[in-house]
Amino acid sequence: MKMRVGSPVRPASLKAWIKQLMATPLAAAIIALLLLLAGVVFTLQVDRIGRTEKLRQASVQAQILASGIAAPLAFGDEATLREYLEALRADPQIIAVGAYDATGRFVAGYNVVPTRLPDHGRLAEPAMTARDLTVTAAVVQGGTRLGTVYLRATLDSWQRRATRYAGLAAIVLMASLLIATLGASYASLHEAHARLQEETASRQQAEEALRQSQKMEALGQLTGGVAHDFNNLLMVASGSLDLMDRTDDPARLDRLKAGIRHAVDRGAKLTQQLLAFSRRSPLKAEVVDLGDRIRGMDTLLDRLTTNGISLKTSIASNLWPVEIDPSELEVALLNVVINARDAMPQGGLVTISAENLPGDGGAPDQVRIAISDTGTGIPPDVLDRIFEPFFTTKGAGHGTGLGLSQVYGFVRASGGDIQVESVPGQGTRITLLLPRSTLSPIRSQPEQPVVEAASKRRILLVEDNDTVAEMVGGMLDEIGYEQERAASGDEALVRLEQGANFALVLSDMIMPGKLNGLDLVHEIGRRWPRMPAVLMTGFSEASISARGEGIPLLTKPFSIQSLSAQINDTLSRS
Amino acid sequence: MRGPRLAVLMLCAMFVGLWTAHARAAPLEQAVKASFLFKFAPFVEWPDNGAGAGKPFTICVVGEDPFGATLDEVVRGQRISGRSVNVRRLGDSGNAAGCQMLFAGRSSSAGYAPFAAVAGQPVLTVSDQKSGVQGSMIQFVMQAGRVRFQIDEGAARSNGLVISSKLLGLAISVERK
Repeated sequence: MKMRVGSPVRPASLKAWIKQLMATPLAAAIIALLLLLAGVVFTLQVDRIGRTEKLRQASVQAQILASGIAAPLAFGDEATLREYLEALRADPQIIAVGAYDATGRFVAGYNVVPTRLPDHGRLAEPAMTARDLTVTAAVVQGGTRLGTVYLRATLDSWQRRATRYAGLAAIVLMASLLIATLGASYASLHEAHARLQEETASRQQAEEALRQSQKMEALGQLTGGVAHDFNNLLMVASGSLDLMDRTDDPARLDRLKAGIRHAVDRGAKLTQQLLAFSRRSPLKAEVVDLGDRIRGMDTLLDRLTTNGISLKTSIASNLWPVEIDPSELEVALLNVVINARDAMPQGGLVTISAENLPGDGGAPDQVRIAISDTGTGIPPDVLDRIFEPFFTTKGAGHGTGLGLSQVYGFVRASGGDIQVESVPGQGTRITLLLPRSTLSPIRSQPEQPVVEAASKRRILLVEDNDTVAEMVGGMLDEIGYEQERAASGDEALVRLEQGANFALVLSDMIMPGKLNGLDLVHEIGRRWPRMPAVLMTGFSEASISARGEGIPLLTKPFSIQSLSAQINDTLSRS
Repeated sequence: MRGPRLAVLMLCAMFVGLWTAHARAAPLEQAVKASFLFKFAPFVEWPDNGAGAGKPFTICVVGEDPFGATLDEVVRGQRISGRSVNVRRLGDSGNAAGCQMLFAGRSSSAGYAPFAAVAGQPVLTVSDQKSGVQGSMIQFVMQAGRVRFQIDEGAARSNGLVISSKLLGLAISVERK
């Protein structure tokens, strides 16, 4: 036979066990039963107290009688004595009363048949049986015992007493029933709740899986698009190189070189945006003039305005500067305008406006950029969700659901705010509010000249990739520096120990071997504190810590101009 | 000779029978009175209750004693307010000092004034109407063949005695002056 009830319970799971037990109909039944039991005990107790009270009452009655009949008993006035005794007949519960003189002889009394009076009067302890109780009292006057009184009274029959407690019993029964019912319903509710939780959990899992697959889809789209763009760029570059081989016309060569340069620039920009998209690039906040930035996007924006869509920009003069990441701003504006365009399949007008919004009542000054369209609008039920990542109303394969989420992330990261107003059928207006910066904007300098080396100085180039090393080496030669290459951080240390007279170390960030670029710079700083170092990186996560330490940094891909300028800066500072 | 002697004998027998009957009735009446006499005490409060503690409670009989041994029977082994009870027979003119209760029987002596000696003292005076003694606080009377009593509550009060209303309620008459 299996024992189930007595199975041992570990203390750790005791709480859970109790919790589980509480949710069963059995527990409710036990509680109801306990209540019933308590009711019974309470009733018995009250009954017992009632009987004791009755006994006390009878004793007092006997005492009063004894005191009253003292004189009639002493002097044999039976008429008066009988009067006293007969008065007690008014109480139907008193079934026998007797008065006895000092010698115990019966003097007077009455009894209801079949009760009998004792023949001889004597003092006795109060006695109580199930049906009646007997008390005696001494008749004492002035300290002299003159006789005894005998009194017998019935107790309520158990039927009468049961009737008296019927009300209480009904209440207790009903409460027990209520508890049992509540317990049962609670148990079923608990079960339903557990089922619901399970269901919610599984649904959340399914949603997570769906989200993941949507993300993969978005990634697929993105990589597809990027591959397409890159193919175009590569086509331009390789085609131009082919054409360069076939011509000697300097003018045509220049044009071809310019084309290649343009393609490579766009490629660099594309990877920059990819990094931004993957959120590995920190916001590179700059103080900019929004007007300049928006006007600079004209060509990009123009390409979106086809199929009967026209674009109007209205930018107030004297816009306050704002501190933002310009490339993120461009991506954000493009995302909003693309959404505006997609909302107008029949064509329409997109208006980009920018103006100052002076703060009042403690609110800070802000610059407001508003993009409004005359499109289909956003249904109110999805208005709350448009900034959620991967939320899209466009069909599968058309949108990633990341556009407006990027806009939201950019605005919030820039300390600004975003507002959406939309009237279905009339259009949408998205407003970006960016806080005013107290600094003045840096004018971008379009083309810097190459800073030629002031003197022939030796530079240690640490780079594991041969092609990159050759290319950077060529640039250094071009600028006018002598250079020597080490293929790893460890090798670089060996070269430095050999004492070749280097003026600067230019190192890649990610390299094979024990030391990466950052470790190498630390080691150099420790052993040769006067030796300046510049790090090159194409990967921005590592660059965050380098930037935090104040190490000069060149972000790949870089031009010969920025290389020359960075080296010149670093050398002149040290 | 025989006839008159018989008649005398018969007469004697009749007398004896009558006497016996009388003698039978009289002791019962006297016994009840003796019992009552003792039982008055619990219903009366003496002013110097505390002072008499330790000493026996004394019932004195002056003049002829109608109870004889009956009274001694009644009080034997009894206690009043924790005091043992003592009966003292004073004769016609004994000293009533130390008595709490004074019963006066009949007397043939001239100038018999049994309660004069205890006038103004807290002594409960009792007498029997039959004996013709006047001036007691409680007086036995016969009523419908039963022993009853009447109480002069005013006299008791003026002598510092408090008689319980229970006893007063049982008296056939109460003098309150």
